[in-house]
Amino acid sequence: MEPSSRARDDSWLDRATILAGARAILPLSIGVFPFGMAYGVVVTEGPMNDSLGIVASVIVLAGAAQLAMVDLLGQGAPWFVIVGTALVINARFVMYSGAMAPSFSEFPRRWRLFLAHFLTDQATVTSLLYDRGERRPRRRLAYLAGAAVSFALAWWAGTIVGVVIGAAIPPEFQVGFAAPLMFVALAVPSVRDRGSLVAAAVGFSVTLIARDAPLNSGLLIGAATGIAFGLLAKAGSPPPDPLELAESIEPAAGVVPDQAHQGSRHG
Amino acid sequence: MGEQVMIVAIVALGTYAMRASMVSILAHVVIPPRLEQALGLVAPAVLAGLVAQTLFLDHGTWRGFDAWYPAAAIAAVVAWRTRSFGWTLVAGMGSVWLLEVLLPPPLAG
Repeated sequence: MEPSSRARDDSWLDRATILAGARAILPLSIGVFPFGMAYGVVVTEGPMNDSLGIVASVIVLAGAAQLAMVDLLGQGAPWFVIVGTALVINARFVMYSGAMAPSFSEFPRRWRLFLAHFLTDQATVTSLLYDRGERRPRRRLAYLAGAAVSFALAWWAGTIVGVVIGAAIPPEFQVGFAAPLMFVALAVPSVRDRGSLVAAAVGFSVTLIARDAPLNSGLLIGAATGIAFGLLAKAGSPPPDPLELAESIEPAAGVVPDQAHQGSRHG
Repeated sequence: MGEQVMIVAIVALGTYAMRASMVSILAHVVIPPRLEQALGLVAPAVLAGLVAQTLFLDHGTWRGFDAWYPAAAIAAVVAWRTRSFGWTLVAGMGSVWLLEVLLPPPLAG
């Protein structure tokens, strides 16, 4: 290797581009901070160890799945049902991974392995928007690194603050309501067409009907049934655009700056 | 505690495997359209199920009617109209506190 290879390697991380990525995702990072706090507070109310709740934010890095795990632990569900439910919730990342594959294919291997962990809903949306107008792999990598890592830092900070203050909040503040409330805030914008409406309605009803199913598997049964009926309702329509989909999962994504969508629905 | 650590570890590994699946391990595999549609329906189906479970159930049995129900309905309307996570949290928590003050004791949460 030439002595210059190290210097060339470092140029994968252009500082201005990293900052541009962090700046672009900033509204979403600000939005995820209270979500992280609410999750942290919910952790302190439930049976999950507080430190483990923080560790989960670092190594799982997926809010809805983490909240579901805390809830199922509280219900006394067996471990394989908790694991199965969390992994079903996170199955959407396979699709994001596919959407990001063209950009990643030009990154060095160690960066691919590192940045894959940070492919949250929000970082994926922000990055896909940028990559539409930027072809240079180095710029794409630096932008993704800046956006994805800074967003994760906001989630971690929110979690830690939530865990710290959670212990001090008295019960009359209805902290327990934060869990269903966050699921409402995530579920409503995920409904964007006929198929997703059917999936949500069936998932909701069957979870209630199957409440006595063994091993606390009601949610898994409800989700599987909802997906199946949603597929039936969608038969014949084209597959979803991952960008549009990720945006609908993260409500605040409507405020992604820069190359914002035409006719953004954010008021 | 040991079991909790194991659960978090397996979920973390599985989630990483899914995130890395297409971008490194299976870079040349194309997701079949039908599977892609199913993946797109995971979020609405699971999240609606989670609303049902956390709002209406407690250890598999019905929770009684309380301030949570109308507060969740208000939050859902705000989420629909604004699509803002922040406003939804504010509206939901604000409503549940307000309703607790307004509702007669047996109905408050």
